[in-house]
Amino acid sequence: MKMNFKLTKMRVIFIAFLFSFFSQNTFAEGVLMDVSPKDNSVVALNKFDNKITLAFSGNVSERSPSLVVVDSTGTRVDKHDVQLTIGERSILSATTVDLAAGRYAIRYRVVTEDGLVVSGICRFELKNKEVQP
Amino acid sequence: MKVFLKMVLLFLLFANVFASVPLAPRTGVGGKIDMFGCMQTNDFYIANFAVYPISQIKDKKTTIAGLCEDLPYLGNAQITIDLLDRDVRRKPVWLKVFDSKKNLIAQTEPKIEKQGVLTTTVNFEKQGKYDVVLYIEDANLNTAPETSALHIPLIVAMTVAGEPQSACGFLKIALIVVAFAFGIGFFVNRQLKPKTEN
Repeated sequence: MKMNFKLTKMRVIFIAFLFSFFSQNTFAEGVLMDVSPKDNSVVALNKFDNKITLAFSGNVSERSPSLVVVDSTGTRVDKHDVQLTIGERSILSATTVDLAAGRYAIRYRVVTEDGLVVSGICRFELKNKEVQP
Repeated sequence: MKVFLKMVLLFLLFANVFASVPLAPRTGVGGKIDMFGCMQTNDFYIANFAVYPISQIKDKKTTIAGLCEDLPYLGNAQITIDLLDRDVRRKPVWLKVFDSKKNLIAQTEPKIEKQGVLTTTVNFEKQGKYDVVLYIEDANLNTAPETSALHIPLIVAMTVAGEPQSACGFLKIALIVVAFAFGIGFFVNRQLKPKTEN
């Protein structure tokens, strides 16, 4: 009888564990983990590879991803070629035309499987001179 | 042990059901139900759109249901836009509604909507296709509001109000899922029953 009680208790703990584990995974929010070029960074023009990359954690969906790059006048300089690769770290990327020195802004967006929107703005600056790390 | 397995099975079914219920569904063009609400996007912004006939809001007996891009009635209607981009809630936003001939029939003043919801009432006097346009003055991007504006198509009084076609299909799918769940439950229950020896 005592053994049965212990087993029942263990089962309850196991189910509670399942609930907590799956609820975290099912409703995991998408979070921006990394962006290249870094937010508010200054990059040497000759080091910039015309590629913008953002990494997200969480259950990112294929629904309505977006990545726009604009110069200081608000003109789009990306090539309208946004790509989203879904994985443990989902990668949102796009390429730009050849850029001149100046300030740029990135507007990004992904939508999670739960319908949550992860969007925002990052900035970077390109300079002609070699930039001190 | 049987009870334990049943509970695990029940849990898995619940987890899957919860995982597939996002925003409140809204009825769109041709009765199409969008399980993500009524998401409207362009390359810059994302918003959730709804239109409510004022008569429905005033009538306390009627259940208020947000419509997506298809308003079957003429007359006053309330347009509601949820600003899903959080940064947009700190920026001036305004709406303009154009008819199919590009005539401006309604607009709002630029205003910061801290709560993230922009609403206005529009009197739709004629049936036809309308263009609801959301403008955002985005100082972070410096893009002209006309360039980044979010255009939301809306058709008015061109379809018959009533039971949407896809609602029937949606109900069928729900019934199939429920029947499948019961089937699995029955099968597991049978498997767990101790076999009687002949």
